[in-house]
Amino acid sequence: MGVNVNFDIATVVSDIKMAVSGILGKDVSTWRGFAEEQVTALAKQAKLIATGYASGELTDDDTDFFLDGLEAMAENFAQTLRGLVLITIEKVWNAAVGVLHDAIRTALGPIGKAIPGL
Amino acid sequence: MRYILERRIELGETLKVIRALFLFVLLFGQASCAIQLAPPYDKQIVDTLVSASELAETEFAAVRTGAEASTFKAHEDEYSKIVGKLATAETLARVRPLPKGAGIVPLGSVVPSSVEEIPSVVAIEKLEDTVNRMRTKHQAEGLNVTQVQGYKGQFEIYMKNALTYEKGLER
Repeated sequence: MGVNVNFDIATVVSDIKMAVSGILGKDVSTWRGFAEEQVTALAKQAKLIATGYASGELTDDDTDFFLDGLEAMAENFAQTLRGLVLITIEKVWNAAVGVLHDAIRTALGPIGKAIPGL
Repeated sequence: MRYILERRIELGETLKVIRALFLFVLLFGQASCAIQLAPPYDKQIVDTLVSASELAETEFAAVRTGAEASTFKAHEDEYSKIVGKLATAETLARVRPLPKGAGIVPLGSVVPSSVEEIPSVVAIEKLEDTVNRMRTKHQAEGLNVTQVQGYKGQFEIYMKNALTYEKGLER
């Protein structure tokens, strides 16, 4: 009696593509919107500092504080974007591995239950 | 005889597939197949940040036309509430477990290994600095319209960084 292993590579690849593209589509759209808003906000803040300094509304001390803030905000924005990308990579990886594990579990049937971590 | 040989070949190929699948499971299973590249989601941090943001926006609106130093007493409690909320959010973010990492995935160097590398923790610290500075200046010299706009702009950029990251952790 042969053991029947039902593992269709084309179906598994299609399932992975579907899972990954769903995550990427949603996340990339959200992160793009966030990035555009923050870049605009940073530009507005830079303009406010420049006009405030020129008009004397901002003192030298204020200007130093807000300029340092602008630099730190740009850095924090970049770190945030990197963090968001890592979250997406994590989701994509885990979704792909999840599909593969499901496929193996299905293919192995009762044998798969004995494998730890599957 | 031929039938038995064919069945043996079929069984041999099937076993090869099973062996390959076992190998995959061992490789990915032992390295903990699920990776974690960011800390876990904590709704309380998001809620506390939203609450701090509401309080701060109310205060920015209250002083939008500027405020004399003499008015500070009337605003002191509001500043304290905002800083209190932000400090609470920072504490919650600092006591949260760090990400477990990537196992066999070559991403180890970019995974945060200390709380100082979590972007929202940095943003929350900067939010506290911003509000504390505004509070000190209000008390000492008063605030003009441009200064209020500067603090508001800085607060909102950091808050959006912090909230976007914290909400992104809900996966």
